[in-house]
Amino acid sequence: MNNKGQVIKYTMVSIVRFIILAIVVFAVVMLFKMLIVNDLSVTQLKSGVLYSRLIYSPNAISYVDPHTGRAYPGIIDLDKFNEENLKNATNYSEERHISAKLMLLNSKGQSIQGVNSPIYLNRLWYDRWLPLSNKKFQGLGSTERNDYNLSVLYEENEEFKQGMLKITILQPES
Amino acid sequence: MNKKGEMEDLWFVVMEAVILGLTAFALFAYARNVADSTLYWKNFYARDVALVVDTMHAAPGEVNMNYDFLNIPRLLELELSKDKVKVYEYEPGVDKSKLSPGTFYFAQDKYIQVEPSSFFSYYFVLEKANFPKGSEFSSKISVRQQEEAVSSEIIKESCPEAITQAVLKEKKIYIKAENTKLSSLEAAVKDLFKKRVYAETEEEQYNNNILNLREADAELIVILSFSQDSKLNVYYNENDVNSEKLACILLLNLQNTDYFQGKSPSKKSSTQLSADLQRFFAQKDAVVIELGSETDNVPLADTATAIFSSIRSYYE
Repeated sequence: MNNKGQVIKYTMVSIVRFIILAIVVFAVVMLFKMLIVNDLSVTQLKSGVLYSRLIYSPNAISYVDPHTGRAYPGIIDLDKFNEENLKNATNYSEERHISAKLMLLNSKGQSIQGVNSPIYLNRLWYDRWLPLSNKKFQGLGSTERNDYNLSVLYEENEEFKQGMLKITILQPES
Repeated sequence: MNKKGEMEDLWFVVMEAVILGLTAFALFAYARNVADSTLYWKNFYARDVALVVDTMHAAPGEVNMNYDFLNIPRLLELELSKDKVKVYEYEPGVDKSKLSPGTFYFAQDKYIQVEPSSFFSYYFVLEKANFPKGSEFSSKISVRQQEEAVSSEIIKESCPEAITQAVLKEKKIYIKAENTKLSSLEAAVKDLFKKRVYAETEEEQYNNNILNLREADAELIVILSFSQDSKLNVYYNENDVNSEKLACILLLNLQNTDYFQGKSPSKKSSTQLSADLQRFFAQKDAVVIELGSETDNVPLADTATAIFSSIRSYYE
């Protein structure tokens, strides 16, 4: 190359060619991805399975009769309603899999005295995913949100009281 | 543009060609994988089995679940570990770290033990059993799988009676492909022994009894060969009832596979073999299996499973 002007011109042309090449490759890949649908979305099911585990598992938050070993899915054992117990009963080794918030309220919708609520499963990713659960964001990269409200009983001062368990499950859209 | 400029231009074109070539290769590999739907089924069964295990965790009592697969085109190998299910396409002799599995996670419960196991894409039983009170775990989730082989009743009715009962892992079995085209089948049969007979800690025993066994040390010889026609032939020693029994079981199991159905299977005397192959029958229990002339078409997984199941039935 003879002079500086030619070098600059050649470099500029090369950059443009690179960009065009990248666009072509990207377009071909996208076309392929669009035409071949191979996705298997189980987000709803995954959410349902976690909800069932939280409610039905004898090792999670439900009250278990010490004599029969039977779990009562509608009765919350306040001694078990904490994050440590939740992690022992439902621990995903892949942290970007799913997360949940459990809020236990009394019949007036207020927090219950002496009960640490809400409690979280995988709080780090719950906080990160929450802003993305907005309905404005959809598709890959967004978050699937499922809310469950369950009328429950809990024991306070040796009597059963009515309450509300609100569960929010967040997971990445895949 | 001078010579240097032309060279740079040439390099750019070469680079473009390489990038496009790699992209095309990756896309075609992906499309081929999708076309035979293996990728789909790997992901499907990873999700399905993991979600079933997840659900089982919540069940308060004991559970037995019968699980069967759809008619999928490839044999899959499933790996259940304490926190996930991995599904590979079955590739005997290939290091699993080189394969890309379909993976799906399930939640662990501190009080429930999940027994790690490896099994195949046909009928299995998923079991949740409770431990007695005071144990470290409250219950255990495990997988039980039976071979898809001809039942022992049919073998008993159809094959000669001979007492061949023995502990399989203690037997020295020489398995050899006479044709290089069948060496992958040889590897697949040996691999099944490794996975289903020997524990991980018994690798040395597997190496001595199966993988690196010399012909002279063998207690049973199984030779894999091809024939001039498309027929399935199993050769046995007419003077040895054990050899005849194994030949009979092999024929029953091989005929049971889709590929060999209607291939005019026959049991033949070893005297019809060439002198080179007859030598195997001299002092040992032996069989020679001729798998037809089109050895490239023999389905690896099904045939290997049939041969492995036969040898196992022979020692039961």
